[in-house]
Amino acid sequence: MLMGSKTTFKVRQIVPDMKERMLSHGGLHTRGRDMFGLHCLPGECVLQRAVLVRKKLCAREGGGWLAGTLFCTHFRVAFVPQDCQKPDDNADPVLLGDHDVALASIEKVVAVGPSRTKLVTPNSSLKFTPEELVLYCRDLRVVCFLFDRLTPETQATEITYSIAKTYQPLKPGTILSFQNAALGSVEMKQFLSNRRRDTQINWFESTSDWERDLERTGATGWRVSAVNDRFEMATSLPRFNVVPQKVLDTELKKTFAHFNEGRIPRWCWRHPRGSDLLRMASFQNNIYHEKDDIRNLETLLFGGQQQCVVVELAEDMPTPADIQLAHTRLRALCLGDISTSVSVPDDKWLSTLEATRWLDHARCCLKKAAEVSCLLRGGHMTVILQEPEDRDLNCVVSSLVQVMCDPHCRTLPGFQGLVQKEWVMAGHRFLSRANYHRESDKEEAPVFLLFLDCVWQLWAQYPSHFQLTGDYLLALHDSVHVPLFSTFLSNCQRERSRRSQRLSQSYTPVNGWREVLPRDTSQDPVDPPLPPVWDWSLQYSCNRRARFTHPVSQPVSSQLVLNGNLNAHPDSHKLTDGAPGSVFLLSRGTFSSPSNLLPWRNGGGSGSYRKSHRRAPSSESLPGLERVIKAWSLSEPSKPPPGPQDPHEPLLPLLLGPCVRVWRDCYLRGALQAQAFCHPTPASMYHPVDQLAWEVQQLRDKLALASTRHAAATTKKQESRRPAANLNQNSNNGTFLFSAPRPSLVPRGPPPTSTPPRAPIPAAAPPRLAGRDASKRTFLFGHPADARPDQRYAPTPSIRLPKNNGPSLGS
Amino acid sequence: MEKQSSAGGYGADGLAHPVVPSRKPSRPLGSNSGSRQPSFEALDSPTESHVEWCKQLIAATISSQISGQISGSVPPDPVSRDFKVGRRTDLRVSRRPDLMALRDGNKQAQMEEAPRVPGESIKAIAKDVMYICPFTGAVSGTLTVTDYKLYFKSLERDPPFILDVNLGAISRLETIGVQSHGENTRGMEIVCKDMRNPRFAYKKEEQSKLEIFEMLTKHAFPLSNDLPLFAFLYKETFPEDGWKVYDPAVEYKRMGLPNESWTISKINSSYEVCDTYPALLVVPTSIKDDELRRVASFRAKHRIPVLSWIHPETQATIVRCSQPLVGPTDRRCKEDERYLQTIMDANAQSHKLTVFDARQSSMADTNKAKDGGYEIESFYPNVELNFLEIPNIHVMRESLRKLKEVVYPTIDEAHWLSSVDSTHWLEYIRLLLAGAVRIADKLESGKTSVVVHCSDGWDRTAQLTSLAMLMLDSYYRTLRGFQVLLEKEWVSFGHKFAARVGHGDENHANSERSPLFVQFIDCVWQMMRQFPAAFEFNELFLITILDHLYSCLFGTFLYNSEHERVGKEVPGETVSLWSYINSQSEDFTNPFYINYENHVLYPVASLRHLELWVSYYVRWNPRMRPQMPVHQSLKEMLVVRAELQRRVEDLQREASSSRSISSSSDHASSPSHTGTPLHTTV
Repeated sequence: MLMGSKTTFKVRQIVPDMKERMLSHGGLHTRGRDMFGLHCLPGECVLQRAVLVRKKLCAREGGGWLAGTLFCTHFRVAFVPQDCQKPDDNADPVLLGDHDVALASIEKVVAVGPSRTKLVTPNSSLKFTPEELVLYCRDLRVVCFLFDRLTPETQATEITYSIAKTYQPLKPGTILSFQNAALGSVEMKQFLSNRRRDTQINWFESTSDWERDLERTGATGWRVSAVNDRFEMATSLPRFNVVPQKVLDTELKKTFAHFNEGRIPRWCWRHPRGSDLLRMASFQNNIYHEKDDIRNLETLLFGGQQQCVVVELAEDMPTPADIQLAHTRLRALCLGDISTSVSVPDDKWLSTLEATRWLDHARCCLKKAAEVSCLLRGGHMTVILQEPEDRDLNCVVSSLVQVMCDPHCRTLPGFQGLVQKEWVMAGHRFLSRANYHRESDKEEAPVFLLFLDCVWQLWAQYPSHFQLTGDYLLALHDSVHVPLFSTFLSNCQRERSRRSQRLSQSYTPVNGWREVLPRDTSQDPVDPPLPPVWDWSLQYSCNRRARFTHPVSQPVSSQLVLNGNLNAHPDSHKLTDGAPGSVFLLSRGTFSSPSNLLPWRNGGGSGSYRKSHRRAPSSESLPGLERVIKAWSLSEPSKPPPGPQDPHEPLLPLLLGPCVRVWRDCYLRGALQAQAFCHPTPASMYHPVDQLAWEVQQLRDKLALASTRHAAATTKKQESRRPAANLNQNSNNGTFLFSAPRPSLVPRGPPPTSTPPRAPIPAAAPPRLAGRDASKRTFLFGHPADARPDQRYAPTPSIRLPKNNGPSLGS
Repeated sequence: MEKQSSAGGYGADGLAHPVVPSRKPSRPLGSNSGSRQPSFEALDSPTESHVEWCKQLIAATISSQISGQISGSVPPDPVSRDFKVGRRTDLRVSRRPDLMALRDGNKQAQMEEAPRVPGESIKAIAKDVMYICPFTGAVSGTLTVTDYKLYFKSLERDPPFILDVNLGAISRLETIGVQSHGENTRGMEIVCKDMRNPRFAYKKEEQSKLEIFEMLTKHAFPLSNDLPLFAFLYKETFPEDGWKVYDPAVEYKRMGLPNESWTISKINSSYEVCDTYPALLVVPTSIKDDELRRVASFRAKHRIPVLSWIHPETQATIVRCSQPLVGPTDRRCKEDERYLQTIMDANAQSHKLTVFDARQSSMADTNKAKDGGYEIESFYPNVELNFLEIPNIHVMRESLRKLKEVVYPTIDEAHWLSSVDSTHWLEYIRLLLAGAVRIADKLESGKTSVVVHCSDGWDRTAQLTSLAMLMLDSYYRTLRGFQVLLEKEWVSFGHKFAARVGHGDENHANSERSPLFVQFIDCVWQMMRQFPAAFEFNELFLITILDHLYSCLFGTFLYNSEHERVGKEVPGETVSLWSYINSQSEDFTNPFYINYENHVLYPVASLRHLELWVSYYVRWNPRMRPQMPVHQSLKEMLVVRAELQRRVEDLQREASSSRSISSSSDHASSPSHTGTPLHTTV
């Protein structure tokens, strides 16, 4: 329909050959270059610019319109608000400004004219001057720019073309050119190579990383094995795996063959009550079990425990294909028909949402993780997650369990470490599942996004138990769609390290940080070094990063030793009544001990095993296990939100219909209705909590200043100074709601002169408003739950009202 | 906790609103908070016990299951505080000896006794009654029936299980078969208006048990049994007098009325012109009384167009009335036409007038055939007629009935969303909000006066005008202002509360009943969700209002019109809900309220951005645990801030008095904090 327009002259050469441009500007592209107010990345060139453009702000951003200049570079669509501060030339480059869209995350470009809308593709041409430019993004954002009457018409048209021509729909090969555009310049490579990794995160890349985690969780009886150091035993497993101490490497080697893809049972986490969480792939059945092997296999499964529960994740969980289908439907529902800008009819919204089954899938994962958490809480057993391939839902469930049970995983570094451990290192096939290259359509499935949704559900139910915030989850969600990060661009550690061997060693040292060899940095323009996604300061401005952590999160006591000796809850059911060596299967919410659960116990080779244990696996402790799960569902209502006094009580999610909700901030960001009514407003925006947090920090700083000044000034009034000192002391002890170290929230400047982190704050607003014209009436527009209405003030009269305001009301 | 309460005392209330426009009376809200005692000490005052009782009501079944951990040794974290206090109330009341005779006098019986409000008397007590809890299984205990409530307490569980139902909330009582609980057992189902149906089983042979059912029937429907409503027996006194909250003259004065175009007419002072209207009406100055009477005869139930709200700048007005009696023959009324013209002329900014007919256009036509109708545009020059297509009260009743089936007792997890969809409840909420947005926008952006009516002008009209006023006028978004709004648009203008709710009436099938007020409060909640900082009151306030819509404890929502209320001496004989609320206002305030003076709120009326009000409709389900009390930690943060602020000031004062430093620039910057819009009232 769009390609077929006859009268149009085909491809207009408005964008000169890109290479040529890059060459022509090459000499000028120094770091921190400022082009018409746009802070360019090294090597970035501006292809087109349009002035007097207004960006429609979504509800999260406070709604309304923001005036500024729109740029199209060969890497991103950038928008610079007119009143934004002059960027600091010496600041490190940030890939995406607060209002920018990476070209690779654009899915469709739609131009809205006076009477029609048109999907703009690289080959299409416009027969009208666009008044509005709408970018539909893969991450479900819908970014809308409005051209002013004063925007030169050519600029409006040309920038639309530029974007349409350069955004490059995903297909094999385009990723690479995008990566080059973003990171390919010499300066950028140099810059990336010199970047230090965040040492707060456990990257799980070296032996010591794993040992640190073993120590942190107090897991004993386990060791880190380097038997897979060259990926010879299992190509998809990481170099280092945690296995029972009792199994020697030589013995271990023989067990790989018994599992699909060699993915043997590996330790993931120890619950403070002493249970261990493991994960593995399905058994290879057509293999002869030697006696010695059987002993080792049993040891692998049981660790040091007496009982073992295998949690089967293939049975009643959604498959990756289900997840993909649900996500596709959800996208369609939330974005509507992109080419016509028509949204799904509103009246069947809930039913249609239900029919996507996305929420069902999220509920299912949460439910399974909650069951596993309860089992672990029961104490003294191994719980093994089993999935045929051990690369999708095992990642989801094992990491969800840890988010529920381990407060450390609810902090920002802890969560990132968790993703490193259970996804990146464990070999979740990010590359195939994301399908960046459009080479693996059948494999495509947003399993990781489902996981983020589940974490969001937990966060939404227990916000104060998380240090990370919804904004962080949203940022991570969006980054998945920007194919720049090594985290998401490989399927397993082997691929990742191969890639980095080809390149410099910039991001994948095996044992801690390794010096970058200078010769590596400037060679081979084809493959730029890719940063990990956790390098947030590379991606986002500090304003956005400041919102990644909760201002009121309880400080997580990191010194807490989880040694597995935590007293079992008095009411917890005794589970150790089962015979030693019992293996149970948890599938579809019920326990059983089928005889063929462990292939070697079934038939021929298992005789020796049976002799070694007095009894065959009995179903005696089944009721006990059932009780644990049942106790959860029964006690669920009576559980108070676990208080800080017992950080190890799992955060069990409520799964009743009304409790599993749609992640509005993410999926409905682009909902057209939400943008229906908007008025121009200044961009200053604050959440009351942010503001409050900032104020408290300010007061603290003032207090510190006042007390030190006071100390310097006088020695007479000792007593009166003491309370202040106490106060500060208290804050360090976490008595106050803020943990003292909050580097992100307040720029560390000299306290008295520090300015609010984000533009003017509402604190100053009411007087201002009053001073100006108290009778000026202004507007507020509704938006989803966490709307921030306080950020809107009087409309700027000079800005034209959006044209869709009147008619939309009248219709 | 004490610290919190006292810190809240020096609330930044006055500071938070540097500018109070002349048309708005300054709110005396903060003034009493300083003098109030922290809730812990004051437990024994009747007010406090009442608050706790109300909290319990809200928590009701939830509390009994949640409080398991509370009785333990946990530090009094904010979550459990409410329930903990609730428990204390029970103990306190159960010490009363006067009912010992009725019992065997054993300790257990004492413990199972019901706490009572002043004026409440116990009518029947039955032991060994089994409550068939749909969530946690049957539990047996003692059932007490008073003239105000039904109270079930079981000590079988720890903590004791309590179920508390206001008799006023009972829609109907039914006997049910409960064979599974043994022979000679009778069952009773209590169908409530507040979305639950508790069931009880009790032994048949004992005389006292029969009594229970009869007593319950008698006192649940006092009007059908020639008994007074409990509000007339209730003897509590509050420091605040809620009947003084709304004074029409003061409220009209706030709006700048009377002015040259509008006057306050006393034509209805004896309710002769219209018996469902209040005594004071605002009408155009130029309309004479006899013209008014002729207009009245042309409007259904004589509900003439009167002013509800006037825009402080443009003078555009919201005018409410009932449908014109056009009839199938297209009758005209010159006075009515002139009247609308006068309304239009009173607003110099616009030469148009918009009539919003809330009904579906097809229903309006049906009404026309039945002697009702709508303004015919050709007879009314420059008048534009819009239908808002909102279905009638019967549709709403049916929708809520379906919703109840969806949420109680069990929730179908897999089909939750589609079953909510099938009730159409949210769709009607959307229609109402969208209609109100149109009205507000017409006034604000179009600067045009609007006339709103439905059939009789007391149901959908009240919903729409009050929602539009809530959007337009920030005063109504305060705690007091909202009370004024309800008193004005709903109570005084004759929303038929008695008929719609069916207070004390056993005829549960009466087609006059309909949850229109619930629907309106739901809309307010939706707005609150979209603008969390724009309302001074909180969710508890809305839930409390709805609970007392049914409870018959307060006189506020009794009877159909001001005329009836005056006749029954409601203000003299009963207590106002606002007495209770305003004596306890800190419980009902939103700590993050920011007074958006002169801001117009336009909620997004799209189903995607509406949500089912789970914490009201699904609150009886113990699995709907209240969400993490983030607001609680925010309140604590406010206290910390207040504390720090005070210390900074102290220190700075000290530092400056010591004169050891020359620069005072930092001092100058400190007062800027006082202008912050965040309340410290906790």
